[in-house]
Amino acid sequence: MNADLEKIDHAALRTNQTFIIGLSVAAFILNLPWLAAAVALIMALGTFRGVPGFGFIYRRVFKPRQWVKPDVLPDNPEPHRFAQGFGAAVLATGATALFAGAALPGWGLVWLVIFLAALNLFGGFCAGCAVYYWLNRLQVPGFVKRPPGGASPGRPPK
Amino acid sequence: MLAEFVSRGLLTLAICAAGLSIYWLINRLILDRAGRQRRGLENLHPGIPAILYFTTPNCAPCRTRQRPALQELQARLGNEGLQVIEVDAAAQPALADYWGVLSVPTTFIIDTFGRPRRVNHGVQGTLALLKQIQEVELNRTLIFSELNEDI
Repeated sequence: MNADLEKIDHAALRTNQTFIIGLSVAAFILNLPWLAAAVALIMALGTFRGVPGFGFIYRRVFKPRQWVKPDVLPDNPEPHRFAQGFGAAVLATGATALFAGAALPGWGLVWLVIFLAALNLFGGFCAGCAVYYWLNRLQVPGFVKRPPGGASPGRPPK
Repeated sequence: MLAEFVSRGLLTLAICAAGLSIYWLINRLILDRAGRQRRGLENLHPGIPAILYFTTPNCAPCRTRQRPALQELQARLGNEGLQVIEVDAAAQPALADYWGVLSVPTTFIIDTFGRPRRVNHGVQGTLALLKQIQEVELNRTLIFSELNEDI
């Protein structure tokens, strides 16, 4: 196992994914491009602060009331941050397209983020993390972390 | 306005249905693949349904929710009614990969012939697992009764 692993609460990551999916679906059904833009903004802010964008709801509401139990695993935070940042960029591009009147590519990008977040939430596969580890394998500068021992790229540590 | 929301809601439902179908298909493929060699089931007692339970020492929901649910089920059905095979996915990553385990806890329902019949990604409660075992065993009984009628 890598010595520089940090303790990551995967319950906070799952809460984040749940809110990204729920609010993005609501944005689509209610035809609210600003909601998709707001979700992208919260994700981007979370990425810059190094935390899950909607993690504050987990920390302030779910965790104190024990509605969601912590699931702390030794893991690399960088791939999750990269995945969230990538999702924010895609969602922001989608929202921009929607504001520009390009509904089909705009909502298509929103649904892409929904699909990838759902894949992570229900399937346990983080596509953004997998991309991060592939870039590490290709020795791209800045992508310095390797998957935790025994874990495949994109899958949670076992 | 309302018609637009309804049509968008229906489209969302259709997309979700397509996603669930893909999820179901992937689970079927995992079960079919795992059923070919049945690795990890070497110590299975024939004639007793089983649950193959993938966990890790670090998995909090496994410790707090999944294991108690399995213990309750085991207590209800007894040793002659159910066998639980626990696998540490961290200690046996090759076996976990073979069974297509993406996250823990993952549970597989194994019928009395040792065939994997259901897969659950994430925590499953006692009643949900019991229902799955009953469904699997009911299907088996129906197949046998149909065979007997044919004979």
